[in-house]
Amino acid sequence: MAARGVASVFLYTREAHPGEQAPHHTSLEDKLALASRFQERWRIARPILVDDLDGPLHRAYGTLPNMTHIVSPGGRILYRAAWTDAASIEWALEYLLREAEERRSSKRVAPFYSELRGFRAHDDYARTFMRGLLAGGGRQAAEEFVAATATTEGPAAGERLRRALEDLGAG
Amino acid sequence: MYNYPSFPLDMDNAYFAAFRGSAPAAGDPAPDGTVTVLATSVRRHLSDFWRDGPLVIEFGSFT
Repeated sequence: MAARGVASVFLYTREAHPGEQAPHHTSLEDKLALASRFQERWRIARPILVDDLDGPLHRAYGTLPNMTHIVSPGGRILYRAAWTDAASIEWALEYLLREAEERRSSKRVAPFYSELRGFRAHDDYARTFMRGLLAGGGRQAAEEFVAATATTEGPAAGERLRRALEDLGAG
Repeated sequence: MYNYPSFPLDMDNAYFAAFRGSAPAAGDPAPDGTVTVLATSVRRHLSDFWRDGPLVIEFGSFT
């Protein structure tokens, strides 16, 4: 995609699941330090841009922890999703690059609004997610997420996550 | 409170509804602001990064 003029950045926000391993940021320096650890841990090649401490850009775009947007050179949102999903981002970029080609060939192009309901694979999600949360956030972060899920999605959902934690030897 | 020290019990649902209903949508101007580039510690405008071509912005954190 980079060869076709598409740039990609990671915009670093507040910690979604603060815990003992990665506490909430109390200064921009805290945030930059955690962003560095994140970059090293996952070997992120693309530029990491760190939002100011109070999250002005994160909030302006919608405050979700893992959303993705595609913006045009003219500064218009072309795509946005509540979740980062590589398959739908690639699909959207192919479509949007076709529009750019149409414009370049001097065809008149008129935009229209559309929406899409995306999906992500869910099998074993509880275990995969809790493993990641334990490793990145720590025990406190994992326990809190179990409690929050039980509150917002009901006891059965909370129980699924608690069992995943137990299976990982941390419940 | 933006930087919560612990994950709130009532997280998620209200934010997803607001994202769908009131955050800037496809076709709207993309919000601009200042960021700190991690590699250089230099402050730039987010719009500097979309000027030359479509920009994919992935939001996230360590956790």
